Amino acid sequence: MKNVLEVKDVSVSYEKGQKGKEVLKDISFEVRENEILGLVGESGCGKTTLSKAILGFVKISRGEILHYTKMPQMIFQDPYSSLNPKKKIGWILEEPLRMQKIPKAERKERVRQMAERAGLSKETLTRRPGELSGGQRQRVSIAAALLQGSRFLIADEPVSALDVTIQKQIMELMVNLQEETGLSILFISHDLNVIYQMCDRVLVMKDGKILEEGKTEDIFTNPGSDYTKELLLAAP
Amino acid sequence: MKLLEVKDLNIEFYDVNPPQKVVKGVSFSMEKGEVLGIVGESGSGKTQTALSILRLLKSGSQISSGQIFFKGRDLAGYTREELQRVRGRKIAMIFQEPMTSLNPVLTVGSQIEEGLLLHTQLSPEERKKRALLAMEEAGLGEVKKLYGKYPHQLSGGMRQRVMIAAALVTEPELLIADEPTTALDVTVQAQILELLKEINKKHGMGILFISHDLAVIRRLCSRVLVMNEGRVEEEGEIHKVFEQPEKEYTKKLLAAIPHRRESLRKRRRG
Repeated sequence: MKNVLEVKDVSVSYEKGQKGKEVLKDISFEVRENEILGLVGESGCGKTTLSKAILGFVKISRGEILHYTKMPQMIFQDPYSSLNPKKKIGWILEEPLRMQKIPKAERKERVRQMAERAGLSKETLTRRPGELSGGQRQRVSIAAALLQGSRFLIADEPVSALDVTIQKQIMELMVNLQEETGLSILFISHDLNVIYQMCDRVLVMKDGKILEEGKTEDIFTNPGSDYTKELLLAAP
Repeated sequence: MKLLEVKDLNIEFYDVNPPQKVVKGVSFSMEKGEVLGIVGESGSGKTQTALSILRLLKSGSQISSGQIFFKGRDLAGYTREELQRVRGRKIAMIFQEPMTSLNPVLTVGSQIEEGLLLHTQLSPEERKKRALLAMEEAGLGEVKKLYGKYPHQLSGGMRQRVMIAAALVTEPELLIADEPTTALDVTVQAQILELLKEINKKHGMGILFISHDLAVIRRLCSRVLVMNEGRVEEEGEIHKVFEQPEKEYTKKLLAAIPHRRESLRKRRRG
């Protein structure tokens, strides 16, 4: 199986403020084609710094990050801040296609198809972000990411702010889209149960290090580190 | 006598046109020392119900009808002064984000003592002694050092423990907790839930615990109300509601909780 991303012995230090404080320490892992890789850890463990490093938003002090596909698209916890509040959803979704100079008729058609797959009604395309619910907005940001044509998504706590019934719908949508398209997702979450239901493999992070890595079933039935055991016990 | 009895409570937002009913005929009661959960999704009316008990509803919303009895007396009949004596003394409340309830320019110690200052005649030395005790009971270590610290110097879990200490210090009979563990990491959440259980056992303090998280409710509460769109959908013993839910909405809610029984992934299910 090929990889879409390889992270090799990566360290990151934030130099401002606390001098030389390492927030990522010798991180190595790969994201394979056609998989959902879970990244679990509590606040401050470095999950978000890691995704920023992958995107090139923070400088790495050691190691290398190799991309084998287009830069990944991000899906955030609250997509509201990444959607232009003044524009209609249809316009927002067309934007990447417009930049690729795709003709109008084709743009409309591709947006229509993608919206349908993401479970967005035709009517939603004429609304603005502020008029949508949290679940609908997350559907929009998933559709927008897929329209970019990337084969690799990073989803940072994409379902954490949603009510449980909506959360389940979005989890199912992401799983279905992954299974239809075979793309790769790095799925970041603090919620072990969500990770269990969504991911093929799991990385457990603490204090800037990867404590363990393995198939979801193995990590959950036979955790290797005490910290993972503690997390599993604490998760309701 | 019931500790708390809410009868046919209706709350409306009157600053929107037309006025919107957000709590519709909610009734429930709590025994002394009971831990009751209210669970519901956003917009279900659970927080408005909780806020109305101490009459903390925001301007623009009001109780349009209904009664709230605390130990047999209708809180609606209380004067401002009487209500002020209940708030923090007999009934305490903690919230999701302690940083917004803690005063950033006052030390931890002085905020924990505030309830004693308002409600008792204790000397400053005695107040400090009780504050330190409450802090210890809330599971804070090195309490003497912490006493003089400011909220921003603490982690989220410690801030919530400070809020709990401030709630405990006056030995209230009812603690209303509105999503107190939602913003916390899962290991810290588990610790805070254990702490609340211990306090409930030791002092017989009733807890009204509001959460969107059914799994958290299950860990802590003996009985639960399920709210949806301003109404109580279902009420019962925690095990009964979880294992044999009667209402369709409760079933849907339970089915949506992420769990570790079955993956959503076809390939992992084999």
